[in-house]
Amino acid sequence: MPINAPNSQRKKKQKRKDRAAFLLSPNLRFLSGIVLLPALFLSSGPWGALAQLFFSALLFIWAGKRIRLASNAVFFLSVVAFALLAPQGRVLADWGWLKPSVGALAVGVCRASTLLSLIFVSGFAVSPAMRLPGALGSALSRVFFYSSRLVEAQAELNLRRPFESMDGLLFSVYDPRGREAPSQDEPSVSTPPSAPSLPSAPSPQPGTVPPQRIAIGLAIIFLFCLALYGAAFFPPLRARLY
Amino acid sequence: MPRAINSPRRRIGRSPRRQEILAVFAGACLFLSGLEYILPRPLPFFRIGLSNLPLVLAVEFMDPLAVLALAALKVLGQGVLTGTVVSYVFLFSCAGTLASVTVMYPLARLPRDWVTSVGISSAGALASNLATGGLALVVIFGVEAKPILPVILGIGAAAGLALGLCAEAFKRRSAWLKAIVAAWEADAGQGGAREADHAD
Repeated sequence: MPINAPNSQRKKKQKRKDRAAFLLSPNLRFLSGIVLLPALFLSSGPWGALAQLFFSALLFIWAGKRIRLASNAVFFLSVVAFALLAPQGRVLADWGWLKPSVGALAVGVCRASTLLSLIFVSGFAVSPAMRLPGALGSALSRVFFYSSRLVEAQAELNLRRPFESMDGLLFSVYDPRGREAPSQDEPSVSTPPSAPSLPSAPSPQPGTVPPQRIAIGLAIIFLFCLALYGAAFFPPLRARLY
Repeated sequence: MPRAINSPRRRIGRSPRRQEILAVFAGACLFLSGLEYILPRPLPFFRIGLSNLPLVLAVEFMDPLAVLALAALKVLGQGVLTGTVVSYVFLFSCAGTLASVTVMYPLARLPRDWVTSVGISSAGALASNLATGGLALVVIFGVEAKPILPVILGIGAAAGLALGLCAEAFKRRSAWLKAIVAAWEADAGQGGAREADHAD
């Protein structure tokens, strides 16, 4: 069966629109993320951490990313469950070898929220359209170029003959026998992978966002700054449970 | 497939074709990670790690600098595509890839009768899972979660074995890989000559 079956045969999720890209250039988004990240390490209470998780999730959604509820919930619960193995403070229940305590619960919630918030803020800050400077940036754009060519040509893949079809696919993308290396500027005109197999969406090229929109975007980022740092420092949210 | 003899003269920066091959391999890593994302998994947390297939193949004919560059491009590319560059996921990815490359490269220099791609891949998977499992205990779960480490290692070993079998099968059947290795070896001579010219 070919990998790229018709849409009718495969459940295709609708791609969300990257609304942040409408207001902020990729590099500005990255800088915003760098400004927002320290707030996640300043939170000391579980409520503050949960509030930060909420705001980080909003940022993630604003960037057009889809939150996978099931996997994130499993991750959150497993981190909390392992934290409960080391009792701290008032014991809530006695289930033999497991004694859930308020302190351990707070530590688990803080840790899980912070880790998930990091992923969400990172997902907002880093977009595939971001151009890294120098040799590393050009090498990375070549990598994306070949990755996108493989994605475009993936119709040739056949699960019944995986190795043979992969060989053909690779030859169609790069033939070391006949094809000379493409010119230096060739990869720069390519776009990042956009097929559903790769979990990313292309964003506009840097520098295409007009200043008025950038101002609105920065105002929104400022509000998120207030929310994330506020959640870390707001006294009732900092109050510990134990 | 012949295994390259490591030489400090064989550098990647000198040959445009070598840079191109590196980019193709790193691009294949990204493509395979996307492919694995859509393939069904036998267990919820089980991943074969298809994106490591180009690395397993590359350690057998590339020099250490090129393998490190490929690992860096793979990790960075995945981080940028999934947006995890500034999160702990990136740290885990770096640690796992570096650990596996560090173990796989010396093994790949051994004679073919001693170790095949299956052994190289299994050892790399174990090293990667030890590194990421250790980090997970420190950063995410805490030392209370030590009992899950054998489970992680067991799953990792199975995944490494499966990936090694894939690599061995691909290596035996792929004409593309043979052509790539031939091109890489041919450019090794050119690169050496260029370096020698440069040194003169």
